[in-house]
Amino acid sequence: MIFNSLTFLFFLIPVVLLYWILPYKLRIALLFGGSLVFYGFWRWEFLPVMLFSSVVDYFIAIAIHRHRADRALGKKLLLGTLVINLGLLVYFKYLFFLSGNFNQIMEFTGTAFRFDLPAIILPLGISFYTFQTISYSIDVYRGHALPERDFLLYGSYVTFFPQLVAGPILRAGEVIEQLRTRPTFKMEFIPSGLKRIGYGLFLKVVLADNIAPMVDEIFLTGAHTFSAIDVWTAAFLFGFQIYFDFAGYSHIAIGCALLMGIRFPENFNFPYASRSFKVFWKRWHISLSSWIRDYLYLPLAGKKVRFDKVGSRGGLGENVEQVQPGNGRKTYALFLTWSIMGLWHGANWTFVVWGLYHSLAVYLERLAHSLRFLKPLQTPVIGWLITFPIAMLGWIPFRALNVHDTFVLFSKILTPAAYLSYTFRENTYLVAFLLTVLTTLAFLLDSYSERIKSWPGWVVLSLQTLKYTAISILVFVFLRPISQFIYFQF
Amino acid sequence: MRFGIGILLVVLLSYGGLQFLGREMRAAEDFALGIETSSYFARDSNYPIHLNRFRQLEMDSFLSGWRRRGSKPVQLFLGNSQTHAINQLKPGQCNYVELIRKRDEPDMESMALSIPNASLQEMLVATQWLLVEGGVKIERLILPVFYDDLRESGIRDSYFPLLINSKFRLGENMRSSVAVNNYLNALQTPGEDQTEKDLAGVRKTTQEKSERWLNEQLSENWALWAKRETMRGRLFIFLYQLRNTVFGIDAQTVRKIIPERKAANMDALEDLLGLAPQVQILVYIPPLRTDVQPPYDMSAYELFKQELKTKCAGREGIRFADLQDLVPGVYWGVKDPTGLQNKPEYDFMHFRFEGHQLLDSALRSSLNRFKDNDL
Repeated sequence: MIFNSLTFLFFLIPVVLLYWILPYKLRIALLFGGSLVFYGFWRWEFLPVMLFSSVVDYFIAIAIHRHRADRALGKKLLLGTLVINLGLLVYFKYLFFLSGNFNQIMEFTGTAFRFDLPAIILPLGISFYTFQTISYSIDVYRGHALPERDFLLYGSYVTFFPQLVAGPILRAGEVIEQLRTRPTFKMEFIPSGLKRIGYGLFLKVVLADNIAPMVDEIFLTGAHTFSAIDVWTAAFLFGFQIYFDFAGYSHIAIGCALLMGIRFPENFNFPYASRSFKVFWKRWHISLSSWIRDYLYLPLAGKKVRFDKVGSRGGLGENVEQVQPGNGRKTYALFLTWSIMGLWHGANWTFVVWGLYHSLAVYLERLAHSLRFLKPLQTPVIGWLITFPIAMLGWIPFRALNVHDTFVLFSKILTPAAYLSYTFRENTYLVAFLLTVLTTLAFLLDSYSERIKSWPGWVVLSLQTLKYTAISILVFVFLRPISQFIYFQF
Repeated sequence: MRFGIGILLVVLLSYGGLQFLGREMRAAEDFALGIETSSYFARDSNYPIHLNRFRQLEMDSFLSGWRRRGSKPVQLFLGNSQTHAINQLKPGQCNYVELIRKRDEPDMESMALSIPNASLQEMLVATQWLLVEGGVKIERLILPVFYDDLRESGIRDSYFPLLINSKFRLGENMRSSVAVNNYLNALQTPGEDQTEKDLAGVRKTTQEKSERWLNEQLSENWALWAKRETMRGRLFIFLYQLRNTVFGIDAQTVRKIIPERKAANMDALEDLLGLAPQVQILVYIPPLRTDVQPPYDMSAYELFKQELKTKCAGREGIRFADLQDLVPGVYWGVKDPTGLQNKPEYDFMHFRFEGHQLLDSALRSSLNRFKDNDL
């Protein structure tokens, strides 16, 4: 089921009502059952895959805990769940990609052998729920969490519908405890939840879905025809589209959970206002960033994962600070981690290029920070002026059709003569410019939100009323399931 | 308490706002044509001989009519809205295609395809589809090259719903094949109907059924829900007018040519010209209102005309005609304001019936040059 649809609204209302009416045990059963229905509305036949992944980790986590004295057995059990979960991910997400690469190598070496596969449908949300189940088992193995023996409770954590298909990627400790403590109804849950849902739908159906046709048209044009200004414009437009799309999803997810008294951590926090890449990764897809840090980057960098830091929302950026240029293992961990993070987003080399682009940006940033003569330039405004466009440009490999196009587009940026023309309609540039201005204004306004709250009550009420009236009208007019959320395909 | 008041206010204001947005309005296409202009499409015994989009039902009718009339060789008139729109249309009047058709020679018949703001890429696709898939014997092609439309590119699903998910592609030997086939590959929208487009995100999922059902129920039982497309149209028109007002854009503001788009269109033109000499092609510069300052950089426009003339010169089966000054200012009209101010503006694209008569006469005389073998 997708959030930007009537079906979802007609599903959510009864679920929330029943959730607060039913006794505790039935409430959890409702969440679990409702989440399966939510998923089944996409394709019922892929429910067993999700349930299989959940059941495997449920039993393995219990087994790991039971044999916690025997580290060797624990390691084998953990390896078992990694093989199973990553195996599922490889089969559904990467096998086609791998076979394509294999065939290309065979072709290059002149070998006639080919490994052709039929198209494999990617189960919705597999990258998200496998990461959740993996982190659960690792946390139990590390002793950072206890296994949950109540399958309904555990199942509700893995399949909880607001975050099931595109995150935020939650840790067991963040959700299971909240479900177990039986949240009591508070009136504030409803307005807070509805506001977040409305805002998220606005970002998705009003902004992202209306930018999408423009971006699609742009990237259909051959990369060789772009001017440098076009490349920047394309990067900015797609940067806004993906941000509105994904942040919109996260807002809706947070809002839905809030309606049921469950608090999710924030997943986005005005990433384009970041003054450095370190900060950018503390503000963009925070749950993935911190997941990668705890379960991939720190182990690869040879650092011990501290219990009190697990799940902290510092994201990858926090630890990048510790990577001194020239520190071989950590630098290698940085680049490898980001390549894997790129591949997590999709089975295509373009995503690896995207990951490497970001790791390089972070590495160079660290290098610049270590140079004393650059210190005077390290102000927040200069930092933002550098980070914002470079982060936007990073979306080129993410959206380009292939690696060749990516490098053709990047090369335009570096060609001064390519700045002398343009190929899109004037509207395209205008929209990109307006979005830049409006997003910046929205950030500034948000920074002043606390001050606004201290204004007279009727003024605040009037402003809020106008804001939510505009949002309601626009969401009503534009609510159509014309597209899925971009992150569904990951 | 405060939340209750807030919710009540939001609901009331939203309801009022939606009622305002949902007021009756002209269809977007009529808005684009302008306040005085109407469309005219010729028919023959209920079979259309003039289409303005590639839609299955009309195309079937278009082709079966042609077959019923004996599958005669066709002189195909391509165009944009200038072909099908008549300013201040009066009863009994028709467009130039119909006028020419009334004098069709016995061994050939006239048919037309005019797509609003059609790029030459779209004209190429339309022609190729009719030749290859439709099996239409196109003997003559009458091709206006509009300076404005060199700014356009791509194949629009709204005008080519027939090609959505179809396997039709341009042959690889054509200059435009890579660019145009890319566009054709992207025509994945599941249908021509707005509801189908709206459900694109849930195609082939269980949710598709529930979404369709809920949407139907709401549309049937709630007038506001049914008017959402109108509301979207009104919002976009408002944004368009707001932009024009803010930037001082009106019907006479010079439209710049985008070099890369022009090049893509010229490639498509070259592919169309490549059909000659098997197909006789008349390329013409369409009439332009010149009693007031047109929205072109006139020196660039003259260069473009010269380029076109050179491209056609001396090629077997191709004739060129410059009809720019054919229709005097008195036969042109006005269109809706492009900005928020309520003031009609000059229409540089659509003329009155008298203009169509002049074009009929000029085109017939140009077409006679094929008979006379006059270059």
